[in-house]
Amino acid sequence: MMRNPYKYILLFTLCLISSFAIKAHPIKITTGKLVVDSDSKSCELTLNFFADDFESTLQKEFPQLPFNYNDPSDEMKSTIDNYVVSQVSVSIDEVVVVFTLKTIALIEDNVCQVTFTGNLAAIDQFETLTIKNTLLFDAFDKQSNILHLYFNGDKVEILQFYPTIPVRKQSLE
Amino acid sequence: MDQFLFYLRQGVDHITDLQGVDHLVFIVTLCAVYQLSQWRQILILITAFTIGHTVTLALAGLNIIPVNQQLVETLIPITILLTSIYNIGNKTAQKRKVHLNYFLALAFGLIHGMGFSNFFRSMMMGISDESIVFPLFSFNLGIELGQVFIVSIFLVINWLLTRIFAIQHRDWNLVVSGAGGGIALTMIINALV
Repeated sequence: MMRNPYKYILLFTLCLISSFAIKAHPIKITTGKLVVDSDSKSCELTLNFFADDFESTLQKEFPQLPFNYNDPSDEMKSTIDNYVVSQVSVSIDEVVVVFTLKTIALIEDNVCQVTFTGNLAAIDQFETLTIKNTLLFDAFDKQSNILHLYFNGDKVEILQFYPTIPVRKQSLE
Repeated sequence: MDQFLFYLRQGVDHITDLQGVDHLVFIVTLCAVYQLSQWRQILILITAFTIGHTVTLALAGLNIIPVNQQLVETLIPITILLTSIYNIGNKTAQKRKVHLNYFLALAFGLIHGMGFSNFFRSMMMGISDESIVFPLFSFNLGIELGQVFIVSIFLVINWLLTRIFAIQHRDWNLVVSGAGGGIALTMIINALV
């Protein structure tokens, strides 16, 4: 059956491929929404995580009791707040937005949602937005983060962040 | 338009992703038994697969049917393994067995559609204030484009090897199906362990 030497090369190549390419689709993703309002000079950042991925990553870094989403402890709030603020940053025309943790909730079976509010009082012009989003990049190789951006009620863009592209710039004009 | 392109790209990337090859290996294994000259049969086969996965992607994407992610992740490599065994048993696409191929493509498409829906639903998690019909349509279209791309590349390689390097199509089928079966077995073990 295998008299042609090319067949051996073909067989070898495909065996090689079959020994490496064995991964099914890992789903490592976070989603979010950033709503910026220049009239009220405020913004809201909503982030959604797979609760198991999120909790296991944070528990590794900050060991504590399992998260209780119905009644978040101060330690849990502080852990999530510190982690998100260290991984996500937003600046509008070079002015960094300071976020304050607003809510933590389990919105679906395995989906944790956290919301932050930001005060934009110090910002006069709304021309360019720079966002860094490295959530869970340290934990998972295949992690990517999606962020829906709204400005003054209109959807501007859907931004995607990868370990190779952790920062995005977006014009608001 | 930007949103359309975003979800379209997600669909293309998802099916052509070399770091998660389950759907890609299935399509390649499904086509292994065919030659470029049998493009009409391939078109029907791919259409059957598309109908199958579109139905379950839409139903699961719209939350009409529940999907057990763990189960689907185990079933997808099983569809690859069964296709591979079927190919090795048949060696070439015989006309009388082609209809069974179409049926298998349709049935297995239903399972792969649930796999696509897992990813789609993950992309939409927590984004509940906008219609998902348009993103779903764009994502599915992206999957179709990715699928056409994979099949085209695969058939060109098949043509080159069988015409230029004189590899018999029967051997090509055995090697590709064998590799597909090997990958599937590894995935099944990974999913179960």
